[in-house]
Amino acid sequence: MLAKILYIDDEYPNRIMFKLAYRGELDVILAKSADEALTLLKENPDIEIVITDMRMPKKDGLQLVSEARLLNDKIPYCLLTGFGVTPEIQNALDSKLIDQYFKKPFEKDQILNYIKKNVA
Amino acid sequence: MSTKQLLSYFSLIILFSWQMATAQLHHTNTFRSSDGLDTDIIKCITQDSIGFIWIGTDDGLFRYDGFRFKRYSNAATSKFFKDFFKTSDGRLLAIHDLGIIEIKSGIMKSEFIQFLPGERTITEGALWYPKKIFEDSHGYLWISEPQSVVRYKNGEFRRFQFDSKYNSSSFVRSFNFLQTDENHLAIVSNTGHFLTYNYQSSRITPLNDKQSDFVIYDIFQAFNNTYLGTDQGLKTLKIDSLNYEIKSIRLDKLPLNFSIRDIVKIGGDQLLLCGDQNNTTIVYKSGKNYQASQISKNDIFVNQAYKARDGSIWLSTDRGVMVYNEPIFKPIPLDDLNQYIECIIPLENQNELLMLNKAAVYAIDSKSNDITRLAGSTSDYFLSGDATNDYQYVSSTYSIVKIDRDRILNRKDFSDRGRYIFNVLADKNEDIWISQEATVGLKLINKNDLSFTTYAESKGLTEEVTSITSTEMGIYVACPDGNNPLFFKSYNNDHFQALQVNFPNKYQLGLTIEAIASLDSITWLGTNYGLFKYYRGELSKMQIASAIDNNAIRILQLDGNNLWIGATSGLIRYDLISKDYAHFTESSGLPVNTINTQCFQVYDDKIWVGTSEGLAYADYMKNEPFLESSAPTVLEVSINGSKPTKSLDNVSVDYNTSLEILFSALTYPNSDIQYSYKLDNNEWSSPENLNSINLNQYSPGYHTLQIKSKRMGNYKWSESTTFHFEVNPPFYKTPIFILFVSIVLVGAILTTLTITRGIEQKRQANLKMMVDEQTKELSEIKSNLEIAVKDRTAELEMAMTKLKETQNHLIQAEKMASLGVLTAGIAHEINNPVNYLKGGLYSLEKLIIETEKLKEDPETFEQLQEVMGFMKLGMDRITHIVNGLGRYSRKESEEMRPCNLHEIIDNSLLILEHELKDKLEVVKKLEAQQFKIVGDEGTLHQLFVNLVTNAIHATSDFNQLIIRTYNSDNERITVEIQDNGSGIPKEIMDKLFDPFYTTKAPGVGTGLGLFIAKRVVTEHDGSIDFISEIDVGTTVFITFNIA
Repeated sequence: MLAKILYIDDEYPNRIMFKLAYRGELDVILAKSADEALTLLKENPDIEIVITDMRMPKKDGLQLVSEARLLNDKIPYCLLTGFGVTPEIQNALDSKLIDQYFKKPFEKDQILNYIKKNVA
Repeated sequence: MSTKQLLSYFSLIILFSWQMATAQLHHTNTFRSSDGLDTDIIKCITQDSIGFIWIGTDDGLFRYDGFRFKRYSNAATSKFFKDFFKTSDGRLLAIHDLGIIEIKSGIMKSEFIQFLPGERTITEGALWYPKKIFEDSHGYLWISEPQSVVRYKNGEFRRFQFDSKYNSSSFVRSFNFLQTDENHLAIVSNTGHFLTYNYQSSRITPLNDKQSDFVIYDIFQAFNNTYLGTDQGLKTLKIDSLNYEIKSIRLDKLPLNFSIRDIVKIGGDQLLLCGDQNNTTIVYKSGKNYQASQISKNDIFVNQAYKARDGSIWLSTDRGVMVYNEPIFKPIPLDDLNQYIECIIPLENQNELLMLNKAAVYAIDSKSNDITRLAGSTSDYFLSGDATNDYQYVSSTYSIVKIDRDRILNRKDFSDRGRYIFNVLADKNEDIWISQEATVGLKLINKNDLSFTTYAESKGLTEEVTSITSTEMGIYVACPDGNNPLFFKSYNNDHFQALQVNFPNKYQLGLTIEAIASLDSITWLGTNYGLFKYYRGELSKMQIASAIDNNAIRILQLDGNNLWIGATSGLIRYDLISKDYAHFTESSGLPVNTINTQCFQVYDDKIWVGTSEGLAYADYMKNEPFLESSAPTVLEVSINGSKPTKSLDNVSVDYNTSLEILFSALTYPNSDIQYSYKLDNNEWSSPENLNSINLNQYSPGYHTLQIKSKRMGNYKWSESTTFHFEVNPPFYKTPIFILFVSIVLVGAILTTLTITRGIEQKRQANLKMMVDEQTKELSEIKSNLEIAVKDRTAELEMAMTKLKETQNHLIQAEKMASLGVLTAGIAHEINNPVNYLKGGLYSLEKLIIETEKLKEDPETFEQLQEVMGFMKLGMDRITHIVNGLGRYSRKESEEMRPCNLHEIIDNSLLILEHELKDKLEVVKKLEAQQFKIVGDEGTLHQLFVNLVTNAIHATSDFNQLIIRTYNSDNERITVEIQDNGSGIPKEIMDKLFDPFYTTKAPGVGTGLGLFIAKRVVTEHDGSIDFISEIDVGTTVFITFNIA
């Protein structure tokens, strides 16, 4: 069984590249917005990890995570963003709203290793 | 005969239990020989009708005015003073070894008149070492001597001597007196003999033969009892002309045989017993019970106590004068190492309050003041709490605990949601709200299972919350944000709204609102910069008293017409109608001046406060009137250091001399008093604990000085005392001097006229010669001036060049500042496409590994092609952005060359894509047919980036930006940039292009943006114009010539 991961990014190329990069290694579900992600989380209770972009129209990554945690507070939530660690992101990490932070462009093995360690 | 003998003699011991600590007196000061008293052995203290304190010692007589001790060495023939006495006709008598003097106290001068003389041997008509005076109901003064008593009235002197067995061997106090009925006076000897004086027979008869086994020092009547102060403790006495009965009162915590030298009533139901060692004690009578508590832990010998008019208690001891008063706030020590109080929560209708310290929840019984520990453990750190009608909700570190007094019903950990829970509030609807440190907004807690709903950005709260307050109307929330510090949500709304509270700039940095109170349409805000009032959109700083106006405010609570204000300099009760205020501090019994946040409650006729040093309470009736402080008395006036002898008012002072006025409220202790003064029509001075005024600068004429005083505690300002003085005009304004000067002047003028007439003729001749010379000189000066003007012009030109250089530097600086703002966005914009490239590479890797199957699998092949497409797209975007950036930051202005204005606009928008995203929808209508102009691409980029950036800042919500180009005629192209933002106020329209003019906060804008824009347009022979309307938007028109 491949680990089931929900990846959210508002840019199509980012989404498709991410899915292709992990073909055969991860079971990647894609969402293009926070609202779509929340629906998918409800429909797929077996999602084991969520990785989201930070800056998106309407709701950003942190808002998405705070709402998603109400649905499922047991799985890790990670950010994948082109920004450095802004004070806002640092706060989210300190308060454990966000479990892990990854920087764009992403390192394939870094994410893979994290998933191996943190997803049963 | 049997009736004249002793009939009964009892000595009963009554045992009463000690129930609770009675209010301890508050030690305020000790005055010793080093403070101006020449001895430490104090015998007696009293207060005169003016308010001065008189002190009798075994080394002279002293007067105290609150600041200084004044010794009267010639007041009496002896310096051993024993006691003071006030007669019913208003005389103040002082008893000393060699007689009695009457003190006539005056502010400037006191007089001492011999009332009765004394001798060193027993002599008729003179006293022999008198000790004490008693005035009976017939107007006789009874004076006790070591072995006799003297009856005195209007010059009639009669000594009664006793059989030697009644005599006391002590020279201290030999006899006490007590009026038993109209016809009898009891005389009680130090050794315990009881005698009766019969007014009809004028004879003294003994009631007993045998002396008692204790020494009687004092007899005192109070609470319908007669008390005896003895060397065997406190006793009660029942006596009539024939019989007497004595009972002992056992006071727990005190030895049976402690010595009582003097008994004084100090309160409605309290006696002060003066003793030796540490036995000076307050006895509190409650029904038939007595409770006692010692007031001093030190070994002192107290001769006497005196209660002054202001309530202060003065002890005459063998170690100087000690002053005590009853504190308004009384501490209640907790049986806990940690006395730091975190929160006090009133429980409605239960006569009970809950109190939190670090590791425990306590209940306070509001009637008995009993404290019971309810819950808590060492792993707790209680921070805040509130109560509904049913249950109580308290926070401990990151958790919320639901309790029913001592039962813990539920506990929920919020550590994964934020840090410490500093605020818990039950609003009027009994909804429970909490705020967590380092977490945006509030959480609404479900009272059943303690689950929560977040009230953050989506409900209008964008910051961490520092305090929450509920009122009848809704909930106020304070945030540490100088621009948006206050939010409000009414009960029928589910969304918080930012209130337009604009603190002046100087208060914005680091501002926190720590306390909020609201009544009708007024809201008071307690901040770390003082107290503010917010009324109908206007914010004003409140001025109540200089001692608190700039202090941090921790507590605001309304109580009828009063606003209670907890500041770091004490607690203030402020009457919103009369504007009077009372100030409570450590001098009023507060454990420390600062009351902790959430630790103030007015409950059940008491005020409860919690501090870092423990819990305290004060009795308080709602809207209790303020007490009047006593007005200051002018004690001394000195002019250039010397004192006028006649009067302390209507003083006459020479111009330019120094006038010093000393005054005192004659209320004690003086450290509790503040004074303020007002000279003529000036403002009242800021209150200070300073009892003198030094005046130097004043104009000639009559002046009025008003002085008022104010005691700490529930006191308002006193009436003012008025002091008049006249300043004599300086000598050059006196009529004699003016007349003298006039005569001299007239004489001088006449003389001058005579002399000048002669000189005039000579002068005429010289004049012509001088004119010629001067004309020549003038032409020389003229040519020098021309040279000077040339030099100055050169200097100015140089300065101008420098100025231009500086201007260029500044313009480049502005460009760099804008670049800095953009860097974050650019990084993000570049990283995103690079992310596809990287992802693409991973994907390609994967696809190539599977390449074997490639030929048979057209789907994979298609994917490969798509991947390559996106990699190319990503690459293109990087190139595009980098190109745009390159053009933008080109430093030196380049030569003018033909360029494409549409391309420049596109590029500028691309650079700003990050800023525009989510904020503005850009509508491009680049409709001009001819869009080539001759210009400098670098500066033109800068122009559009600046203008679009301004448009972004002008709009707050999701809005539209329209960029349009058109050819207004065959020779020109116009660019219109239209936003629907806040608009530009009319009054600043003419300042738009001024360098350094900015509406942004310092550090955010340099004020050079539009200045540069204007310059760029001018360099291109173009024009720039604005049309703007408030809240509708701004349109910029830029017109260039076509190439």
